[in-house]
Amino acid sequence: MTEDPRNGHDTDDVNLATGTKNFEVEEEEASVRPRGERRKQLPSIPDSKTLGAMANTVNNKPATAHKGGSGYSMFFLEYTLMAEYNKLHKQRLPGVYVIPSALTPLVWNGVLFIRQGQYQDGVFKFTINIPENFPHGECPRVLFEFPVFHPVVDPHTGELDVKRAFPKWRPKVHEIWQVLLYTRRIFYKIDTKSPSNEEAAQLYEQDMEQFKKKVTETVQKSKDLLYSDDKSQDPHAIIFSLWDPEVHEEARRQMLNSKKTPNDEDADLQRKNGLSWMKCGSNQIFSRDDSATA
Amino acid sequence: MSWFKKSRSGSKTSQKSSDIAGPNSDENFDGRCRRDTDPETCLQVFQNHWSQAIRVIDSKHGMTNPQCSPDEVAAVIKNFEQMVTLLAAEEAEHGTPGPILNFLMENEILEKFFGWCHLNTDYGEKLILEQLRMFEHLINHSHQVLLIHKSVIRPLLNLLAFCVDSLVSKEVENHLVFILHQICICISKETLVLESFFSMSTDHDSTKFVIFSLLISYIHHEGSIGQQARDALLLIMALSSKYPYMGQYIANNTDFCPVLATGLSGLYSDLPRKINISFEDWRGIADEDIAEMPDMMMFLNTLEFCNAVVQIAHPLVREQLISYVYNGFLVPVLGPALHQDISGLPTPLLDSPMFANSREEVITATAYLELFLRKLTEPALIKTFLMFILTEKNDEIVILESLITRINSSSKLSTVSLALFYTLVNLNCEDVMFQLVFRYLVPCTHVMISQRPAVRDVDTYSKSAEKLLSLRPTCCLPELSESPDHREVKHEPVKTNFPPGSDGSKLEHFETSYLEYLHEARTSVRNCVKACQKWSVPYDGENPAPDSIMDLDEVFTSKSEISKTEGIRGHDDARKKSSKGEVTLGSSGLVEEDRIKQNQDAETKTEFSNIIRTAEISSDAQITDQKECQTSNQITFAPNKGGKFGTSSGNVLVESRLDDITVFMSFLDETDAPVDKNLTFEESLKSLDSVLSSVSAQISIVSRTSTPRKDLGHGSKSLSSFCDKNTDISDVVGDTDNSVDKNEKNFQDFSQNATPFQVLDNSKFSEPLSKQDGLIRTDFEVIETPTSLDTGCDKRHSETKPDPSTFLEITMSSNVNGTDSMKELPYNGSVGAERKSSVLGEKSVRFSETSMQSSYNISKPVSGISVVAKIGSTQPNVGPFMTALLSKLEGMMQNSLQVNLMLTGLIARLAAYPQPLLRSYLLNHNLVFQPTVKSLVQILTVVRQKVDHFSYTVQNFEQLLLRARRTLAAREGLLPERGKSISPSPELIHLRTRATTVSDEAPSKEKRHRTLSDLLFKRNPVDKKQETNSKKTQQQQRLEMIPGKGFKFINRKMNDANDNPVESLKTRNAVYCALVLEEFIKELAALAQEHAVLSLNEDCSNL
Repeated sequence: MTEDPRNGHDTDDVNLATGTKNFEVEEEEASVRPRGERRKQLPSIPDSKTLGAMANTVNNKPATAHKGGSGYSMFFLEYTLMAEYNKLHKQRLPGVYVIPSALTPLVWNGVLFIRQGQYQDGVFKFTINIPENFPHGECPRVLFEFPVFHPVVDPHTGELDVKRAFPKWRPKVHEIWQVLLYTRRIFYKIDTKSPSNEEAAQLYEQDMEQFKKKVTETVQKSKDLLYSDDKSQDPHAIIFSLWDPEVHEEARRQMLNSKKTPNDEDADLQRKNGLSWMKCGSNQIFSRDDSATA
Repeated sequence: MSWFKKSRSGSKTSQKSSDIAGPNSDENFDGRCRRDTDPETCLQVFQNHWSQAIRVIDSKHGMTNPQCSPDEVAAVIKNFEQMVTLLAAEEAEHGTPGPILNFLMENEILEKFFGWCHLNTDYGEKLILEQLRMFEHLINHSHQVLLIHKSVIRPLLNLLAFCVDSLVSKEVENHLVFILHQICICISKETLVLESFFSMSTDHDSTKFVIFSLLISYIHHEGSIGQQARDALLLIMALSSKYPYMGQYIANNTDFCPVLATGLSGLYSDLPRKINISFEDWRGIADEDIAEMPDMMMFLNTLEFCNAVVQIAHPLVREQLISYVYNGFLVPVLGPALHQDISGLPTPLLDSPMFANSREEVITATAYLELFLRKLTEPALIKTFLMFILTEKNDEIVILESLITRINSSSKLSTVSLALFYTLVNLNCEDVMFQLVFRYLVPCTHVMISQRPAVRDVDTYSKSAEKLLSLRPTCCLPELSESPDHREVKHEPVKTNFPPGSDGSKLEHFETSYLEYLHEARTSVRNCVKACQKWSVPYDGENPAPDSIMDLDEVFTSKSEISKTEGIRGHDDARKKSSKGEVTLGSSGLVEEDRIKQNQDAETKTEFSNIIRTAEISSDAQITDQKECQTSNQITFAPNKGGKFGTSSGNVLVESRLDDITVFMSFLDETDAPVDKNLTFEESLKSLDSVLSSVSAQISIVSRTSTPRKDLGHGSKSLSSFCDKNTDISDVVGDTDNSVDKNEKNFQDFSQNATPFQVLDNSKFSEPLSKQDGLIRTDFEVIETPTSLDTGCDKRHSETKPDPSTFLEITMSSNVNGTDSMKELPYNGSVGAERKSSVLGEKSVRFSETSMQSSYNISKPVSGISVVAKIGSTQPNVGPFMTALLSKLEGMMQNSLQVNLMLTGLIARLAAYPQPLLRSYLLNHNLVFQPTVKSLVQILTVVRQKVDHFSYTVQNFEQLLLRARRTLAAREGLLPERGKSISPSPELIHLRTRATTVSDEAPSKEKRHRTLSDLLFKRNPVDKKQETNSKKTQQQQRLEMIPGKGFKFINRKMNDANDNPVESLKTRNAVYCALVLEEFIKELAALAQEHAVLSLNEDCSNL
């Protein structure tokens, strides 16, 4: 793999540096361990609060000068991406985990677990690069960490050929989660038409034995690279480490418990909770005696 | 010990000594008693004291004058004090009374003491006080539980009863209440006490529970007495929920609840009649204001007490209290207070000085109501208040509706009404929102049918936000203004605190941060989502289904619920009535009397009251057979009633798939109903009504300019031929006329007076829509609308005139009474796609009243027509509340700053609601609404155009903007701080919960507020306080007020400041309007963006 898009964003850029710096503070709150501490953990998808904070810090450049229509485009882009990310959540794609980079919302780090088929047991890390003029530009690009052996993955760059599935990106119709779905699907359904990796396509069609061998190699390589160090500066990079009960048990417990606890209730919230005396399904006000309060 | 014995023996022997020993030794005794903790010795000492005391007491026994001398009294008292101390110090052994206590009980010490005190009336108060103190001490400090013993309780109760009967001084009262409080604490700690008290009380017939009755009488007192009494009662209330018999007792045998409720009423009447609401950011009566109004504090104390009682008391008590509050306070006191002006009069008249007083009182009452709502926390009580507001009627008008009408009234009343609505909306209460907004939005009549799924759209790409942000007034964009140099040159150099280049000198410096708006929007939306999690339905256009709301009367509380709560509610009748007005699909006569009545109620609000009155007519246009309608895409129609642009609140709509006029005409052709010349006038009119309304639905854009004859589109011959024919023309504008002969005249009138119409798309208006000769009497007036078609409005019209308004209305006048149901249009199914290019007049349409079963298909909608068909639901209407708000918003340039701030705050709050129906209605710029429904974006666009226009007419608008910005910033105390950011926070413009900013500078700010508002709005400068404040204020720009004329700057002179005050007021309002608009669109855009990123667990549709 030659290009690491995560390094594409210059830390010389003042804003990003600021963004990163600010973000590290947020990090601790969000229980994402800072990179420097080398305490790795399974990737966690940050809650939207972090996401929002992150987005805000990255965007913290003083865009006050000209607040004409153009001045707000950054806000629109950020929110568009946030909305896309939320939609992704709703889809609950199996085996795919994605988290936007801390450095820029236009890069999403992802990892794909393949559970069946030829590529079973493969763990493929990738990034999604979203064009700046999203959603009006080209489709997002998917770059694997290393050139996965697959007909539609470029053997030199590791880029997945997304354009074949989304020849023209249509804003309201296409959504980023569909790109992820496609990314996942290629490992289950192999399409050899106009391949990026000629060799792979050829082998798939003619020499299945050899193809499988290569696939096994690639799967193995993915696992080997799994625990390698992350070279990017991205605090949101997906990093794997061996199970360490001290670190991971706690996180696991938190994750499992998070759904159960209801929101904290201040005394203030008592007032903020809504009221309703309407019976479900009826259109009558005050049809219930008791009030449903949160 | 020996010393002990010595003294004891010494005391026994001495008969007349007032003291056992000197004070010192007493103390020593006590001290040693306590220290020794030797029960024996304590007992003995106790007995000692007692024997002395009883000697004195007994000495007077049986004598004619039982009064003791002061010495004797003092002796007894002293002894008793000691005894009490001893008793209190005694420790109990596992619940069994200690020896002293035993002794006390055996000898009935306390009773005797009480009896003795009672006899000694000379010292009345003093003795009472002593007793009270004694008991206080006992209760407070005793280690044992004393209050379970009859011999302790009985004298106590006697004492209390005695206090009840006799007038007591303040001091006694204090102690009394204190004791009662203590008793209650005891009771709550140790419930055995309660039972003892309760059982004891059976001895007294009159007041079963003396304590209770005593406490009740002190509820409404001020100060600590009242507070203690209330606290004590709260303790009892808490108990009552645990012990049903207590609850029952309180509810049934005491007058606790009535006293409380009437107390509320009484305290309310003590409140000041007028309040000062001249601040710009008045948001409601604030705590600082309350601190200045002791009467208000009292009232609020009582209100909070009620709140607490409702929270913790037994259900019986709770319900009783609630019903008393409702019937004893809300309905008789608050209701009339809110309606002191004569309802039904037009608003301008009510705003005139003639009604100033009652107006003031109404304003005050509204502000109070808002405050009370804010202070309540207990849902049951809130529900009571809400029921009062939402369902209670005053003079036949639901209170909510009369409140809504006030939005459009004078500035002050508008402000308080908007504040009240803000509080209501902020409750996040489904019932409130339903009544205000959702019951009109649920039928989805405000959008085109095709757009209904779009109601749920999420604006992923922030397009709505973009659109909103583009609405920023161009005059506010600094880069578009003239260059600073140019600007400076224009004005004479003035001494200003903002030299060029400094932080306040340019408009850009006052730019608010969009990021902050985003933060704010996020919090707002998330809070709202959290709060709405408990709502019953998500209001997303599908659930509840659009056709589930049949009759708006249905939404009143079901009768059964009400009668369940209390028999006291006398409003069952009203509820019963509401169910009558129920409209069901498929029933004939869709508009029933109740609806008519309801519409007539609504009439008073709209300007087109005469239109509404034609509800009678409208009911004519009914489809009897709804089923057929549904199955075959019929047109069901009814003339539109009321409202501007012909919206009405009552009737069925016309199906959307309308073809052009020719098809309709051709359909009419096909009717094979025989002509019946003997039809009565009414009947023919009725049938005509139906036809005409459907016609009106189909007629599209009408050009105003063309003449009647030449007009009629490209089928111009149609009307002419139409007119030429010797058939009655029902849809001709003319005078109402009953005579047959007038047909021709009708037409003449039409050609002269009527606004001609022209069919848009070449279709020919061919059919005479009338019956044959002599019977059609309907007149209508066709007015044009540029974009779309109104579904027709019936209007009783005696004469027509060319109406330059952009209406398309077909109105009819007739004399039919309103209850007959209209017959359906006869239809021949074969019309279908066939279009007959019929020349007008070639065919005649014949109607029969008997053929009711037909239905017809209209294939494609006429371009530009945007009628919505919703079988059985209402005309496009978003409800009086939204309509009022938006129309107030339309007049944004004329509104005062105060009103604008309040209004925009309220709308922004509404926009924070996550329910798709509301959210898309307010924020989705893509949604195509019915032509009669105005969208927020539309209105803001218009306002912005007006503002921009105005800014061109005023020379130094830029300067004014800058000055206004500074003024607002100075008001917030931001400007003096040079070091900090000077961008006014969003809170500056968009109001939150504070009425006046609470900070160190609060007092001066307040004064500044008043001053500014005086200056800016030229309040009556007679108020001396304000005048002096104006001198004291430390503003950077000192504005001196010239009474009655305006203001002038001391530092710099505004050329036009002293001129026409009206002009400057107008300018001022416009300037502030520009600023408010600028901030408002940012706020809305932020909200739009935030709605799009509601994440999974916060999504309200995930109920």
